[in-house]
Amino acid sequence: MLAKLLRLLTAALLGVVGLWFGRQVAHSKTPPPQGRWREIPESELLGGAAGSGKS
Amino acid sequence: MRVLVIGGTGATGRRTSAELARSNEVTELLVGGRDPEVIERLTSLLGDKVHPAMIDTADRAELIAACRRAQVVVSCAGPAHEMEETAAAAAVEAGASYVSLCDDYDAGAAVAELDRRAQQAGVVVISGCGLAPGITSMLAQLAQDELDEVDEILISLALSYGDLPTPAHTGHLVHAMSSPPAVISDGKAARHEAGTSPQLIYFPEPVGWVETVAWAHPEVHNFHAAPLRALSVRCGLTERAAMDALRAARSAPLSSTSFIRRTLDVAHTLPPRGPQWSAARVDVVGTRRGRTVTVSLGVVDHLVNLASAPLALAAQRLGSGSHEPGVKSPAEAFDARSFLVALGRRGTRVARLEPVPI
Repeated sequence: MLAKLLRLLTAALLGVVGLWFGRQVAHSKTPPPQGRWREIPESELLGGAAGSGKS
Repeated sequence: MRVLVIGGTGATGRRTSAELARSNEVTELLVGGRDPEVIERLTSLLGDKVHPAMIDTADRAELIAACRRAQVVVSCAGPAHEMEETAAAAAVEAGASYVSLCDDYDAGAAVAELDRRAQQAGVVVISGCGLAPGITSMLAQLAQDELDEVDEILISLALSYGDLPTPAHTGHLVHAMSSPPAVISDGKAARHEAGTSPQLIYFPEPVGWVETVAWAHPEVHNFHAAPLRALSVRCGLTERAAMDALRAARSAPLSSTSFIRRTLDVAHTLPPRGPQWSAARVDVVGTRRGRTVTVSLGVVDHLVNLASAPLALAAQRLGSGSHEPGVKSPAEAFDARSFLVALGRRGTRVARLEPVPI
């Protein structure tokens, strides 16, 4: 009985580890950057601020 | 200006209170919460104009009485699906303007019903002016201003669980993951199945690529006036194991929020942990001079900053500016450019995605 329970627990544990490992492999290849994130300077943001009527 | 912060002792509430305490426009700041010891300690740290306000948010009369002491009520109390409607209604009844961190679809819909009462009371109600809705609303407006016609808006969020592992935030994550996302599809409002259609989205560095799923959010209430073909919100956790655990919890009917929280507390520490930063990205597709163009804007910071900075700024502007009363979206109430400039001066910078030259 105990041996059966141990086998069951081991199988469940291996299953969880297997799932986790599978996820790691599936996500190990991320695509290259889609582009370059460039910070927008304040001057560029202020370019169209005038005349909206909102605060 | 007198300001009351509800839920002022939580992670975001403390930061928002500190921001407001530094503001010259705020003459008196009431920090509300349930634990007298924590409130006393916090208010003594924040200076002379900050006072404690013991509030049991479950007691409506007590909440209204506290709101009467302020001109602007700021709510950081969560989770939003439990708190938002009560807090907004109390502020309107007390004759105070209201702004919150709410990002829940159903709560947003309930607050929209307060529009007539808010107009009669001469107050402004903004349900959600943190990261999203809030910063993302301003980014969407900024992108829309660059286009002649707007066709589609996609809002994507990458949240670090380790950034804000509080019970209220976890409760909100679980609720959002199990609620059907509201979208605009082919020009019509619709609800999709929660937690579906996983997709990798590229966020500003150091966050980078994050797997996101369709997410329940209230933005569909804010863009109802614009004739959009499509609008959707996606969200993912930067810690992959925590995201897996959250998705698994959605389909496990017997798991309680506290059990999921304990699971996420462990899962978010498992490798690969991903960057401990949060980010948002807004893609707006439209036409400019007859050509189809996509404008992609984003922000990156710690979640507590991305939530508290716009909230505190909105409260200051509500108190000092003259706004048309009623229930408003952040982009209806404030000028997107000047709002983003003010946020930039507080350290939250906006970035634009540009193609890498070959």
